[in-house]
Amino acid sequence: MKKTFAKLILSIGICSASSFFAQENKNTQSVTGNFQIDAANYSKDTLIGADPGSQVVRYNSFGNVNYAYGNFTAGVRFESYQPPLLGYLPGYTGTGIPYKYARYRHDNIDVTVGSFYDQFGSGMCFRSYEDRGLLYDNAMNGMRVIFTPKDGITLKGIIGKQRTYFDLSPGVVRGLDGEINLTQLFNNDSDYVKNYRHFAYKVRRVPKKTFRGIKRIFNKNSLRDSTAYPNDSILYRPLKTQIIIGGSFVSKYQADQDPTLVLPENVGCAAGRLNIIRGGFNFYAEGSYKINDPSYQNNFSYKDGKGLFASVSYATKGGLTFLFTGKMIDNMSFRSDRNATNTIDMINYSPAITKNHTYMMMAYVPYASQMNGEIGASGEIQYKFKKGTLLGGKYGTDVTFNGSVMFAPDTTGLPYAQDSIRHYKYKVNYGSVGKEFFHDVNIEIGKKINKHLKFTLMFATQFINQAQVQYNTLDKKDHPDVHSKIWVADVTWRYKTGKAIRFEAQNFLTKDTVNAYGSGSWMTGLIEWTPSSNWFVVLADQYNYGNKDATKQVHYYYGSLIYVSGPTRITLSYGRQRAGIFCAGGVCRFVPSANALTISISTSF
Amino acid sequence: MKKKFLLLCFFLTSAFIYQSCDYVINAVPAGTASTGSGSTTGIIYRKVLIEDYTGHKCGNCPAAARELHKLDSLYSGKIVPLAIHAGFYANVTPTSVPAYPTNLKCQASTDYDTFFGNSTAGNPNGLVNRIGFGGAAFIKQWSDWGSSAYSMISMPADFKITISNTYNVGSNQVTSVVTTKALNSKSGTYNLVVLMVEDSIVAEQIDYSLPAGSQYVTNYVFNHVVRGAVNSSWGDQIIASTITAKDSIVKTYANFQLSATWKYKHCKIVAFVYDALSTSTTQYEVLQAESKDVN
Repeated sequence: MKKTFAKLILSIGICSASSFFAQENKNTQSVTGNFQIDAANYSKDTLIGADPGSQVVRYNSFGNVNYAYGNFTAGVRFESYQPPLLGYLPGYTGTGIPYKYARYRHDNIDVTVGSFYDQFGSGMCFRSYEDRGLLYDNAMNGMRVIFTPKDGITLKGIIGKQRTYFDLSPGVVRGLDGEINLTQLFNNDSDYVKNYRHFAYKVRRVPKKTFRGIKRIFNKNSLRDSTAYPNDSILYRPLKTQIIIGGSFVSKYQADQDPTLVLPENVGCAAGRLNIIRGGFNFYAEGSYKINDPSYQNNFSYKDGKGLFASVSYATKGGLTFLFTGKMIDNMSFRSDRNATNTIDMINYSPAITKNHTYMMMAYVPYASQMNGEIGASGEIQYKFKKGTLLGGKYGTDVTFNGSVMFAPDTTGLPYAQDSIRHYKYKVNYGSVGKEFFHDVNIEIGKKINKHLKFTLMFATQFINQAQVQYNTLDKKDHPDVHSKIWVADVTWRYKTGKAIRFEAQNFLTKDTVNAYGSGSWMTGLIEWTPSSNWFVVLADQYNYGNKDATKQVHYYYGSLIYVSGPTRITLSYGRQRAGIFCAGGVCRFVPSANALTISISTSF
Repeated sequence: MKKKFLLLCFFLTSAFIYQSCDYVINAVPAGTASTGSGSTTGIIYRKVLIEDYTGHKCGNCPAAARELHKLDSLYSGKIVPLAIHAGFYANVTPTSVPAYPTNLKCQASTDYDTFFGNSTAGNPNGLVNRIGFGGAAFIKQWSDWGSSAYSMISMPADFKITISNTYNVGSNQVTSVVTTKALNSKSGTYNLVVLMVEDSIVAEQIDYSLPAGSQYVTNYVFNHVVRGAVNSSWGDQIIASTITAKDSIVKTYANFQLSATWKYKHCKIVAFVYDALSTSTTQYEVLQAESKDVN
């Protein structure tokens, strides 16, 4: 009896201890975060017209600290800009903690209070996000609830105000989103998924024959979430066809005190979406509708807004992938402050379908989504010529062909720029397009010659209607169209393990005047030396050799010394920065040229 | 039960969507727009100083000037408008094509623009009574000026400003006597700024609201242009710590020289009192403004 009792006590003890340690493991605490500071000391440079004024030292800095304990997470972000670096919106001048949150997740409920980022679908009605490089941050400050009543169904509710510099927007944003994975909902009941997972987990190392047996037992061929168990890909095959539908509704409230207009205080935006995935095939489409939303950006038009976005992609095992996208937007600027400009208080987002270039000259005259209206399409085909073939050579060859074209909508009625009534409505002729905004046709070839040498060659022909796209005017006399041809050669020579030299040569060829930067052609050269895995040295020069004014044929030289150790990166740079004019939604911002010594330090833990 | 729950969700969502959409049939308010109480009841109200930060090379700026004109008409006598020509878009470029040879900038405009950061934030924009310095809503788009002015137009004033000008045609000089009377006892530091402002200047302006080919306007009429500070950009301190109700401070600015290119008949003196205490949460806020023709 005593032995039995002793065994019982021991068993309870072991069970308790196991339970305790299991709980301890589940509720592990962790603190993570990252810090970054970019500081610059600006100098006067009469040749490029750089005059920083009295505030010669500027910096952008931030630090995130996140704490997690079991299902609970919380975090803060400290930011300081006193003042921000040249080129960023001066409204960010300040110091504070604009981002703080607490989140709890348990079973089918997920609640966040405080600051959060999220998006519904592709973001046509709601997208809250940050881009620290652009100093863009429209974080929501309020509350979010995500409810998953059943596998395959996700419901979201959000309410709050958006971040506006170190303050909050005057308008309140509230929204609902629902997403249903039909395949999951109707093909897999939750018990089946759980049982299958459990069983599959137990036998994950069994031979293929046994796996076939398991498949027969369950009479299914796949599971919902193959990414949840990446090591079990042999067992967790994706469903043959995934069909996901979703819908969202977002509304903003802003009081109307305008003495001359009756403004809608509640403005709603609705969107519906469909996503079909089968193997390498992916189709996504989303349509949106917004009611009358007169604002500074749409010149106080009371017309409704519409948007449509669709993309289809396919990837074959043979190395061929393609992606085609199409987009139509009319009057879809949606902000929590109807008087906001630049990138402030934007509630929604329009995915860019033009190529996001990384080479400087390729992105010299970039195109940004026109929320007042645009119609366009893009396509990209990638192919990898296999090793051992005529074009593939010893290591294979990557070829990417990309093209995109964007137009203004064809409208009947006064165009935006000619409207002084402030509340007219116009019609969009969907059967045709208006003036061309932009096109970009480019080809990129990547080739590894041997284990020491590889190169990338790129060529593009681009066009931009800078009058309409950047200056919101139809007058091309002051802002002529820019036609350009750009080529890039990028060669990397790895002369020893972990040591390399990379050369870049870029040429932007045009006879036209790019208003923001000056006229004529540019050339860029760059050398990047990697003497060890910790050190990088970069020397670059941009030269406006084609400027019709000989006094403005200036070199914009630049040099950097970079040290990397684990998560820590320190960059010391000196050089010139071009002046520019950035216009959006009827507001133009002049960013002065600069000559600066900069230091950037970032790390994470 | 599940059906009832779904039905309830559907009903609540529908109600939310219905309540969250205001369709506007007529964008123009019925009847006459409210212009605030004014001073009809015997109470002295604040006049609202609206500063339009602009430039002749800023194609979007004429829209702001039209809005300022509209508000000036709507709130007749209750608004003191200023056009601050400063920054890149106000630079004089006599040899450029098209040319902008007329200088509408002055030291005071540049001082304000540099300090408040208006042109860096993107033209056009403005300040309304300089309320909210340091906050996100300090710099306002022209579409927000009307709403902001509406919220201030009925606020009782703490000060009353009276301007008396004597113009000497022979010397082209003006002597201004500015009397600031405290309507309530106040503590704090307050400065008085006195500016020279000119209307009806005809010069070049780009206007994107006009059809292509005719956007460069050579005979554009500029109003409320700040020509310079009569005392200084940041003014004179008139109250160092406290002032008792009904006390007045009289400042005389003698023989301010007008430029030969200015037309004195189009010139006026604008004076305003602002909170100059560096530790104040309302620093730079304009508490009262007034204007008076030079002659």
